Amino acid sequence: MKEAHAGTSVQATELARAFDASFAGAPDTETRTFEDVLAIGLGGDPYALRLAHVAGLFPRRTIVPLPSALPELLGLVSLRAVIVPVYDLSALLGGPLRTEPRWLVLAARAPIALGFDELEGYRRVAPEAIVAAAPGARSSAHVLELVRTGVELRPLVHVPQLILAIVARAEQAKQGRGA
Amino acid sequence: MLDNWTFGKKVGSGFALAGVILLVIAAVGYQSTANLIENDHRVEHSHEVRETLAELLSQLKDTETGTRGYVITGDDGFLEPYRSSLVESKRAFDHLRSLTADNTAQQRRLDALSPLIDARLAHAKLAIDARATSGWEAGAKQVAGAGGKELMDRIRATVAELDQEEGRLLQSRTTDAEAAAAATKAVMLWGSLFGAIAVGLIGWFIGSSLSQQIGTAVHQVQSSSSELQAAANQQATGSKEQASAMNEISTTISELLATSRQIAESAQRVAQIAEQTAGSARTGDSTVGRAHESMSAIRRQVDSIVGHMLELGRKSQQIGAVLDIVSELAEQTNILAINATIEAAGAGDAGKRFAVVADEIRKLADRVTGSTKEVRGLIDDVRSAVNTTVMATETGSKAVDAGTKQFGEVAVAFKQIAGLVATTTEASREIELSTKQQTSAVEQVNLAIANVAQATRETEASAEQTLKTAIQLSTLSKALLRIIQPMVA
Repeated sequence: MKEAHAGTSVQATELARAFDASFAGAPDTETRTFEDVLAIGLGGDPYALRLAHVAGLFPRRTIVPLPSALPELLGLVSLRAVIVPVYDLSALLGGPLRTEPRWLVLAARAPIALGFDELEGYRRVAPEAIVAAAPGARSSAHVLELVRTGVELRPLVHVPQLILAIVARAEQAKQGRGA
Repeated sequence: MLDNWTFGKKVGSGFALAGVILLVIAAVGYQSTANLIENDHRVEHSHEVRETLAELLSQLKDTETGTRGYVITGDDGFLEPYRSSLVESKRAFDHLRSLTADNTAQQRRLDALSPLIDARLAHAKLAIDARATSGWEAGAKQVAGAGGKELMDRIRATVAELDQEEGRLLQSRTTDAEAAAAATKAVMLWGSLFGAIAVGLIGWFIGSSLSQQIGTAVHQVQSSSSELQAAANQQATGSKEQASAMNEISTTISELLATSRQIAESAQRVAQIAEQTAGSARTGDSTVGRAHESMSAIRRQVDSIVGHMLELGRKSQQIGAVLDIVSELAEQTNILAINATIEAAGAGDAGKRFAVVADEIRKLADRVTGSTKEVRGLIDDVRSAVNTTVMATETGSKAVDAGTKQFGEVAVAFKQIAGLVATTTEASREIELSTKQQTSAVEQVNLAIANVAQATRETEASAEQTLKTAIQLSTLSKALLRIIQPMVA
């Protein structure tokens, strides 16, 4: 217990030192090529999202249910004073539907939010860590690549294509409702 | 009736009867002998009277002879017989008087004789006086005178009458003496014969009766001696068996005595150990009391530890709550950093430096999140340890309660043990005392057994002696039976 307490103190000191050092040192102007991804979990399976495809990350908000022909549509939510629909990412990828996601991500080029249960964290990986998924090995039509985070190789969800598919299905539903 | 008489009575009666017969015979014989002696005395008396008469006459003759000699010779020497006869004739006459005092006729003759004797002596005196005074002739004249001779003749005649009377009495007494002697002889002869026959008959009767009685008694004695012999044999055998049993009992009693002494020693040791145990129990009671106090102090300490642990648990919960806030803040910071990174990426080159800061903040947030998880893990460990400690402490508290209760029970048990040990000590002392008394009693019993064994040996010896005596008695009875058998037959 005492050793743990000492380790914690050392760790806090190290954190404080690193935080101070980040401001004390010269700005890192070196241009480096890297990819930022969010490591997430869907029903216990690891997945990843490109940070470039995301406009924002939010914890669980109040979702107002909305009657819809699309079961993946969980409802509407307010993000940064904008009402956006929330879709269940797991259901979109062919998994079971989860009506109360803990995390929400706002897509970059469309006012659509995707909900998921587990946020494993932010990952910055080298470009070579991202490999194309073999057509036979794809778990979903929206997974075109695989990213290696540490020793783990996880599917990289292509959010723009997923948004396109949602829009297409919405249009189909709209057309189906109009007919 | 005579069969019921005892041996002594029969013998005594026989001897008494024989004695009576002999007494009768002796009395008769005595009487006859007495009569014979009396007759002898009378005969002798008659002879004495006749001899005295002869002496009297002789004295008178001596007087006459002395007178004549003096007258003739004038010698005084011849007067000596005269003087002597004066005295002797007087004495003889007195003697005759006394001898014939029971005979009146003889007394009358002596009365007649007395003046004659006096006259004769006076006549002689006259002659002697005449001779002395007047000479021979006067004396001779006086002697030759007719008076002297006449007196002398009359004296002789009277003496002859006396003598005849005594002769007649002598004859009569001789006849009586012979008759008494014959009667005595007859009594002696026939009495002895009768006595012998009577004694023989009595002896035969007593012998026959006693032989029959003794024979019966001897047979009974023989039978009794046989029975006594058998009884003595049984008694001797029984005495030997009893002696053997007494020896075994004595051996057993000795072993019992040794065992009693061992028990007494053991009881004494038990009493000592019980006293030591009582001391240990008292010490244990005191120790238990102190332990009870220590347990109470431990219980208080445990309660305090439980309180501290619960307080520590609450503090841990508070730390957890704070940590939740920190974690939430870190998570929010991380989200903000991620969003800042997203925003910085959207800002293009202008946002690169902000992206660096956002990245640092995100890293810091990640580290804080990791550290928060570690701290949460540590806090969870602390809370788990606290819970475990609280549970263990509560278990310890319950154990302390149980221990306190058990110590109380142990204290009560120690007190009971002390009481029981005291009771045991008292009982051990009583056992020791009782065992000593028992040992003393066993020693007395052993001594009594030894005495009984000695008495048994003496009884055995006595039985053997009785057996010998019975054998001797049997032999004696057989011998006695052989002795009396001819008589019985």
